Amino acid sequence: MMAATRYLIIGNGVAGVSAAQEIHRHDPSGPITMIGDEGIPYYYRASLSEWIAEDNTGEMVLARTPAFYAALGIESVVDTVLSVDTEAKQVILDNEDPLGYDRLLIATGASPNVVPIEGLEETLVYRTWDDARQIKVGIASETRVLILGGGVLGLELAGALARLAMRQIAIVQLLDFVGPPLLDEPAGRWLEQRIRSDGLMLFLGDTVERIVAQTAHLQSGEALDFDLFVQSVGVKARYPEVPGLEIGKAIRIDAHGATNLPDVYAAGDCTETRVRSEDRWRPTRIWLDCARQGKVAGCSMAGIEATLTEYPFLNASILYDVRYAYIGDPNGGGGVTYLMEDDGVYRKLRVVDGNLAGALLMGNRRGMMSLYRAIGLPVAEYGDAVVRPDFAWNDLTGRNWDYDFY
Amino acid sequence: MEWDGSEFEASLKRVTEFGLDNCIGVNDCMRACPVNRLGVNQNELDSVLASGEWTERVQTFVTECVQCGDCTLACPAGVHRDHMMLMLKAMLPKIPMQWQLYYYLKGRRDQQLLISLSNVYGRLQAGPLGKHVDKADLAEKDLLFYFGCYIFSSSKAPAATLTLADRLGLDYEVLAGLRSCCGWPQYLTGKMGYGQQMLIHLETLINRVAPEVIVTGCAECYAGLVRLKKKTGASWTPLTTSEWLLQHADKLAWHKLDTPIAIHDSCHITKKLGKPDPARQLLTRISDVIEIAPSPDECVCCGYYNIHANHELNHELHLEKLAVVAEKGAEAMACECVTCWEAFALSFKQADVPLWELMVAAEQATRGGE
Ligand SMILES: Cc1cc2nc3c(=O)[nH]c(=O)nc-3n(C[C@H](O)[C@H](O)[C@H](O)COP(=O)(O)OP(=O)(O)OC[C@H]3O[C@@H](n4cnc5c(N)ncnc54)[C@H](O)[C@@H]3O)c2cc1C
Ligand code: SF4
Repeated sequence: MMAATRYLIIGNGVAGVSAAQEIHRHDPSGPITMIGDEGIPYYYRASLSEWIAEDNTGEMVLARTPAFYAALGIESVVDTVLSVDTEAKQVILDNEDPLGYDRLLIATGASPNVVPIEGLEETLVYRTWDDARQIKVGIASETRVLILGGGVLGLELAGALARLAMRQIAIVQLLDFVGPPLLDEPAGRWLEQRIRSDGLMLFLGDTVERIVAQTAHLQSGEALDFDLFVQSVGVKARYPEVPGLEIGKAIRIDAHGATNLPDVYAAGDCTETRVRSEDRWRPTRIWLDCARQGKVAGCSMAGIEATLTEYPFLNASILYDVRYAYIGDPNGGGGVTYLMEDDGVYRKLRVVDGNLAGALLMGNRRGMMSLYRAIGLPVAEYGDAVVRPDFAWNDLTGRNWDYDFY
Repeated sequence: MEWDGSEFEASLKRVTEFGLDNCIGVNDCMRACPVNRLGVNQNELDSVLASGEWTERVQTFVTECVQCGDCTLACPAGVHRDHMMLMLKAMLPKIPMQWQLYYYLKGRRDQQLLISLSNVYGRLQAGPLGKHVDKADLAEKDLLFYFGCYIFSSSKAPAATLTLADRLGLDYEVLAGLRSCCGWPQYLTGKMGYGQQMLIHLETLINRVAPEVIVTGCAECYAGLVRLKKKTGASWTPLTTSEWLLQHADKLAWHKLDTPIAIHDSCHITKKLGKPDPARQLLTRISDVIEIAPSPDECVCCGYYNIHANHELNHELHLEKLAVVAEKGAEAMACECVTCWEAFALSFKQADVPLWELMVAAEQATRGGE
């Protein structure tokens, strides 16, 4: 009888757990070990802001219940993987003895960038529950918060803190508009107005040059006092040392989740994938893609044929305090752009060669899921009607995604 | 017409899978849910969906979900939580007794004897309208009133609707009874296959009448018709009773009541199918309309399905609704959907607050005018 395949997963985020789920489904007898260095079960990063703002309890931040782990028979190890010895097929741990594997998944996510600033000794970042805890402990209504970085995460944090009515929230952003890469400049301006009207301070095209005690000196000459300083200036892929592993800006995986090394797979924020249509490598950055990659890698590891479909890009969530959907490629150059701006609403659709190329919907996202299905379809004949919330996408796609049962 | 029998289930699976991958965990869905008294979190639901391992809390909650769709409207990531709830209903390991009875009666067309027996009883209960219950001879007519199973209910709406049609001198056919079920009760109990069978059978009955317009006063029947039309590309138009009567409203003489009436929105017609206006326009002719904001705090759910799962929960919801109505200064409430009316009826009666059915109110407001 063949011995059961031993599966080892580094990283118990969404990519790792999605993989474990598939492995268990296709090979229930293969023992799964998951190594994570956060010391807590899989949780929702996107839910941390609600937790800071006290809309969600800690219980709600957890992504799965203990019963789920038990059902999958996952063995959890709390440790940091320093490196992988692919010859001996084992991972080298920081504290414990090496662990062997038959198939390995690297799902180690990303770590936040930190900009060195003169006079800054330590800085808070925003990625993990522990980071969120430190931010939460550090705030009170009298707190003056300074966030470096006006990208998606910085704005999300600002939005959560704004709900808690801080004394002062300031955002310093190097580019001269907020919300990249989701927003382009016009959309950024739209959101900027909203943020300013809530009384938040925005310093655009600016950066923190020096910190003296509790004062940040900006490049523009402005001096800002703060009690809490958080950096949110992007992330980079994080992974243990693996000799011979093909890496660009992140671990390169093929459409089956495999790396260039035998029996080594990768998924999630630590990877980049080939976008065939654009002939470039794209880093993985969003939850949905991490989950899909994890599932494909999990199937491949269990010996089931699975391929990552090149879906149009879809990211829907909350930016500052606005619900948005970013679908396909709304911001690329070329084509015709249709815009609709209304009180609290910003909708933009881009049509290239008569076909729907992308959409950015903020405030009113009506039709978003059916619009997602319509990427690539010809829409030239409808003119600017496509940008309106009541456009009948379901008639165009021939299926009613929004309410499949209707 | 031939349908792929697995179509609904396949679509549910697709939506569920997408939801599991795309849920970012903000839990807005479960905070928006009108019947989530247990405080269930979405991670509990997803753990069951992903592992098949049930907990008692989730089981209870799944039986209590009324499929109103509030959760889906609340999700920032575009997850169809209501469909994922339907998937959970389909996966339920222990099916409540009431449900078993319900689809034994309504879901199985092969239970001919039982259906015939219950129809005998049903005819008696439906009184003068009894002649329409599952009748064999359906005539070809342009206008079809579809009353489904609510012909048996204590609702006076079917009778009022037909009185209005007679007053307008219209020619019509009526389709009602157990055999013309829209399939919604089966979906609600997770029996997709039965639901689909019912809908297919409904189509054959409708085809015998070959109508241009089908009018129904039940939001679920209406949703069923919309779905049927979508799947079959049928040429008839489904209308709610409010939409239909509005088209003829100017031919009737209206006397306005001086009681201000609050309006209750049904989840299917208003939220899911996006038609809040016809009922309001109609009620404006009858009385002053008092709005109830579409927030979960104010627009408290009728809890219909809990008639079959959890009476106490339903009553709690209704007490909340009564409080909202009183706070708004309304002296009564009107329902467009017969199902909502049925759900609320007892609690409102106990509280001595009039609960109007829109068609019944319309019939009274246009009586003896000409
Ligand atoms: C605050 C916040 C909000 C977000 N909101 C959204 C949103 O709304 N929508 C969206 O699509 N995306 C959002 N994202 C991004 C999304 O959360 C990530 O894309 C996703 O969590 C990445 O999942 P992952 O499994 O690849 O990595 P991770 O979730 O980072 O998991 C990797 C795990 O591996 C551990 N690890 C790393 N290296 C080692 C090692 N050597 N040894 C042991 N363990 C290791 C890490 O500590 C971590 O626990 C948000 C991110 C943050 C931080
Ligand atoms: S459909 Fe309605 S009742 Fe069911 S879970 Fe969603 S919000 Fe709750």
